[in-house]
Amino acid sequence: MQVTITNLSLAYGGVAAVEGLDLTINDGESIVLLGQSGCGKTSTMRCIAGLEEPTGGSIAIGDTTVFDHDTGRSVPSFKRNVGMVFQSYAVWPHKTVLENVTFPLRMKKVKRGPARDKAMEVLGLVGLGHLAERGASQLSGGQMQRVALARSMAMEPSVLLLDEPLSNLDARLRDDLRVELRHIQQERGLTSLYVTHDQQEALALADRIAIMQAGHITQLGTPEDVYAAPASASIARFMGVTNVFTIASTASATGNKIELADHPVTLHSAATGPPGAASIAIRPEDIRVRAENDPPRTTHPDGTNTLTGTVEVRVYQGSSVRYQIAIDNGPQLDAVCPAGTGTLARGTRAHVDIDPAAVLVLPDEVTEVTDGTATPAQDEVAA
Amino acid sequence: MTITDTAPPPAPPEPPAAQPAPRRFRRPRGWGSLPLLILIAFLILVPAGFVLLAAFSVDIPRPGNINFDLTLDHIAVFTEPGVLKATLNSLIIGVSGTLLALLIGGFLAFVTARTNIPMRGFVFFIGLMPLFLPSYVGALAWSILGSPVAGLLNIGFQDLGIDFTVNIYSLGGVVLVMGMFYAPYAFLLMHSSMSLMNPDLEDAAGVHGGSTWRMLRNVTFPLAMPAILGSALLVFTHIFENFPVSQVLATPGQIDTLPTFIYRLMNASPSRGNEAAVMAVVLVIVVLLVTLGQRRILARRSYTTVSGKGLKARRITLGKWKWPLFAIALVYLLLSIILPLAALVLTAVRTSPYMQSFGDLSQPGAIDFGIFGNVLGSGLFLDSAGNSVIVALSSAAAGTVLAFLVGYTVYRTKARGRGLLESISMVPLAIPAIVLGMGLLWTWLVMPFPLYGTLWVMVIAFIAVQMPQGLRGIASSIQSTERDLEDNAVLHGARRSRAIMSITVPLMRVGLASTFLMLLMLSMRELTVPLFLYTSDTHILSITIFDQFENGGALQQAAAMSVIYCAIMFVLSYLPRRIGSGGGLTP
Repeated sequence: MQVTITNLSLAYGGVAAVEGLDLTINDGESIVLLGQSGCGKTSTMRCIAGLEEPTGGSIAIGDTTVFDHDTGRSVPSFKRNVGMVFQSYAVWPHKTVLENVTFPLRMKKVKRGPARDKAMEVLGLVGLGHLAERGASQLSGGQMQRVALARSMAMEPSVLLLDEPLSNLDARLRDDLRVELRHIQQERGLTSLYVTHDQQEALALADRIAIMQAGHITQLGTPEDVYAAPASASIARFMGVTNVFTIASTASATGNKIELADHPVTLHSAATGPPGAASIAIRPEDIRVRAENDPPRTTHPDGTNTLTGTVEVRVYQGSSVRYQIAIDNGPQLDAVCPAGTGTLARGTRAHVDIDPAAVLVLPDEVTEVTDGTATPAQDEVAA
Repeated sequence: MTITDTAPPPAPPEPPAAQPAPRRFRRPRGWGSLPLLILIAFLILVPAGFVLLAAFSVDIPRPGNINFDLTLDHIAVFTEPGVLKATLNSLIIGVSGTLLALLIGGFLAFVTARTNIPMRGFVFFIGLMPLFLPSYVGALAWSILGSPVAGLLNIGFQDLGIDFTVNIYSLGGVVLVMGMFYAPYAFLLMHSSMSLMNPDLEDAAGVHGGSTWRMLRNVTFPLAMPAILGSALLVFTHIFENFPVSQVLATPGQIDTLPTFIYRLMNASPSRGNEAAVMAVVLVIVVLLVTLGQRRILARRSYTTVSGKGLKARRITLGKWKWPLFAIALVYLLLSIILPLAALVLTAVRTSPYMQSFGDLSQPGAIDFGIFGNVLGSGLFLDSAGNSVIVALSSAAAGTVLAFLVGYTVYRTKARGRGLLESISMVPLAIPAIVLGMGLLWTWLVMPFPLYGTLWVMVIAFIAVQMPQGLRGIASSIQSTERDLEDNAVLHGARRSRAIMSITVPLMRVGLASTFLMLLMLSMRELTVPLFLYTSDTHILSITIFDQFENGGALQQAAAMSVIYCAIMFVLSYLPRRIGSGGGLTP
């Protein structure tokens, strides 16, 4: 069901955790709230679940207003039909797996028999049918998280909330469950809100990503949009762009020639950047590295920036190689190159080539969702 | 059980043998623990063994005459009229007292941990308060309040024209006092369980459709179950074996319990020690079974899962129930602390021992606070207090050192027999104080060194009785102290003993200090064990108060002394909390 959050605010003892937040989750859509810890993303989710009392705004699930500060209406948590998967799993250790999953059904006064059938069906879906009678405290972390997911799905929630559900799991399991989660969410058409600080997870699971900083949503868009065009330097940094540099002055950002503040280096950019731009960001994958005496590649576009420096660190990552290159009289650049193109040893003199299109010119911070990114993808979802 | 070969002189407590091993950072292993093992076994197992021997031998152990002629005759004591009754009474008191303690403790734990009851900190304090009052002082105060003839409450009811008589000298009275004074144990255990509960577990119930009541019934209480059961068994053993409360409140009402029955057999003339020993064995068996059950329950995985996020236990909004529930807590405070203390103070300052009505107090000269000065200056008080301080300080200091040595050996070395060492140290938990008191009496009567009749026999007895508490205090501290820190000192060239003294001991100083203070407090309030060991020259405070009340002659002095004693206990109980909370490891 569609969830509409309007002008939501939440303060703890005068300290604002969420401020004037607007967000609409369309029916069947998966939105990921991405942000650092303390940015208010979990608080937002707990407001939807009814576990926190907002200090302002309103929340509607489907046609029902579950919270409205102005009218004082507040539907208690247990009547909202919201599913939630907790970071700590919150699987009841004194009950069996089956008892955990049938709990929401029994609360809905579903008879024992049908409740059991339904629970077994969802347990089968998450691959735990064979563990139904097992005590929940005997499960591994991954299994517990599946139980928590099954428990929430069994109640056929209007919206499923997931609070960093994978962050307590080890890396391999996290990758597997991520794919599985996305599969289940899409197949079942679950309306869901997912909270995480892991950008890989966000990119993988979202129909739309909402970047949250200091209680505000600062960018909202498809994973592709957010990845390709971060709205600010701090968002870019958060999305894993390590090469972010301050621009000398905003004036020099005009005419596509950009002077860095701390280094005597000038770069060409394809964009002029919005007014007030103060930083440039270059994704490590967009930087090409070659030995000093190698010729540039044939697909070298016009106006490519070429800088020279020394390889400081080389980290082999299997499918790729990550370099840290100290540019002569310039900054340190991070570059990620596909492996197999021949790697450069530490201390090698090297050229780096940067496409002007890859040099993003960005403001340092944005406080609100700007321009058209607020509600894109509407028609996509409707289709 | 053989007795003859367990009489080597107590080995001086020495650190578990430094190793001449080539690699100096190796911890002691092998039989380095032997001297400690012998010492602990001597302190604890020999007295227990004497009780067992006395139960099945023709005569009780006497100096120069330990009797090994075994007999089962003493079991005949069970045919004696009253034994069954006493056992039954003990069970009734144990079970109902436990239920009452759970009810009070559970109620206070729930409202302080999980609701928005007004003045939560104060209500928490109410839950702890009765700990400061030794249970027999509470019982004595209640006998002043609720004796059917001259009880202050009954006089008060008469004054008000209410036709109602409280009789504290009854099963109900004993249960009331036991329940009230053991409620704090239940309170503490349940409070920590309820406040450590991961709130996500409860939120999950709310989100998945459970109302607040459903949440409590399906999640909160089941999760607290291990703590509830554990505290039930703990409280039961304490009440079941409690001697002083029964002696003060049940005996005047011609009600026998197992501990008072044993005490009476011991004090009969001629003393019927063998039969007392048989009864004692029964008492031990019951307590042992319950203790084992308790260990099993507490050893089960506790459900209180702590997540990485800051825990903010959910509080239930009480609404209109707020003040009624607060009032219930106040009633408990009134019955457990305010009324007893007021009764003691009133009895102390009243010049006439007889009182018909509260109106009498308004007469001039009816009240005189000079009694406190008199008592403080009296030879009896000064002697008893001096003895108490000597005994408590010595036994707490020696007990802490011994507990540290045992704790270090058990938790930090690979010495052989360390499991045994730990088990023996915990044995006093399962032996009621009254039984251990008997055993210690016989042990030190029989021993060839003339310690009986000195204060030192009490010091030794207290060390033995309080070994479990000391070891527990040390254990938690030693286990939370990084062992690598000490190893590092050894790797950097210090001898093991030097490393312990300059690294481990300073790091544990908070734990050591609070263990010391806890033992000090326990020694100050211990009554049952010294009751068998004291002589007219070795009165300690608890004994003096008990004695004065029992013999009735000096009620006023006894009451005044109780008040002073309570003040001392309050300070002593307060100190460990200060140190425990404020300390940390900051220098």
